[in-house]
Amino acid sequence: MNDAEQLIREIAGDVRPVRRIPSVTLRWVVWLALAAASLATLAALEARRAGGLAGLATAGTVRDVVLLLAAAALAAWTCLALAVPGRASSPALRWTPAVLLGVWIAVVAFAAAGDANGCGSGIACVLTTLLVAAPSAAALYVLNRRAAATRPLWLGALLTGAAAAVGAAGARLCCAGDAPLHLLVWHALPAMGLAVSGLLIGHYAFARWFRRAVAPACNHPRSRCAE
Amino acid sequence: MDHDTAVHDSSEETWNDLMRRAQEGDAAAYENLLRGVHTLVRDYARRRLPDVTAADDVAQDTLMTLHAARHTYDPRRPFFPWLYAIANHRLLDHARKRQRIRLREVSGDEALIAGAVAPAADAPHPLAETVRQLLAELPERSRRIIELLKIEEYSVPEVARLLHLSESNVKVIAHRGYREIRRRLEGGQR
Repeated sequence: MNDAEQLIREIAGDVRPVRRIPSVTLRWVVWLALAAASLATLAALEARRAGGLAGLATAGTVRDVVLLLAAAALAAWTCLALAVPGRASSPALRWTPAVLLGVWIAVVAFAAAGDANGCGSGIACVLTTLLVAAPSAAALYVLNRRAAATRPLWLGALLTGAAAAVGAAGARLCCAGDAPLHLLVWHALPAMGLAVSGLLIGHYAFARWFRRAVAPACNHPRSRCAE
Repeated sequence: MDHDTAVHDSSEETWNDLMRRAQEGDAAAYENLLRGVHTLVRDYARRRLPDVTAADDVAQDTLMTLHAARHTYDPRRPFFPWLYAIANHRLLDHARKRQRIRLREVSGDEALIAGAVAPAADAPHPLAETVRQLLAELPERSRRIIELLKIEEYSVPEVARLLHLSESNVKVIAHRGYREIRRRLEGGQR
């Protein structure tokens, strides 16, 4: 009996019923509901505190929020699809959320270049972004915890990218400051940093399954323990 | 019965059905599926890799990866894009590993040759004479480049200027020379 035959028999002998990962659409709907709930909670709290949503006064806010939520929804779908080998294989699908976020950052940066006043302190905006992004990121992580990603870095970046976009939309809703430089420094740059940090999450959390798949127990004939 | 042929010749629905039954814990269906997958992936890898042993390793690694990822397969979707995404990822991983090993081997060859031919103040290297002989047997350009780099201790940009070559060309020719000397050394030792 050759190696392959032995391996096939061992793997087949080890088979047990598995619980399939839920469909991409189902996981996406669950995530959208959670993200919407966190934004709605934030909006309700803000409206109660300030007697209305401070940020919703301008057309710029509406534009930013729509752009950010579109990027978040698309990034989340692609991130959830990447949990399954062979899904979201089109580069256009993976790049579109990044382009949408990039467009938002470019619009804000362009406006800031023309009007460099009124940066102010925006620690509260950064905290709001992180607080709103955290549950969204955690939800995406949990929904993807059984992922078998063949593009783990993309998965990680899209996970934090979607969460960062939701966080930035939340911060935009609550923030009364409309100065372009403030939006660039305290809204756009933290969101971008958060999105990029996802590469690490992808590397450390979503690439491990692939290495473990070929690391059998030390008593297995294909074990590499001794190497 | 030839299981490989039985599965190999069947339709997409048969593969989907086998995978669905495997997810439900049907060992016979799973064994049948794995045999078919092994044949397909081994042929696929052999078309892409010059080394048959490496292709067989990739095929076996793909089986283990398929086993680890089997819960992600959705029986309502086609089987082959799912399978080949895993196989391609394995091939890519194999190529990365090979590249890393090749880089280590080249730097090891370079260190060995540098140690053997460099002008030594005290005791000569035990392989010095052999390496010098093998160096003399190399094609003129490789020999000249290695002598300039390792005996006369010129830098890569200096050698490139002297011989009217690009720096990357100098590195490639030198590495081929190191590899050739290593190959002949190992041949001589066997």
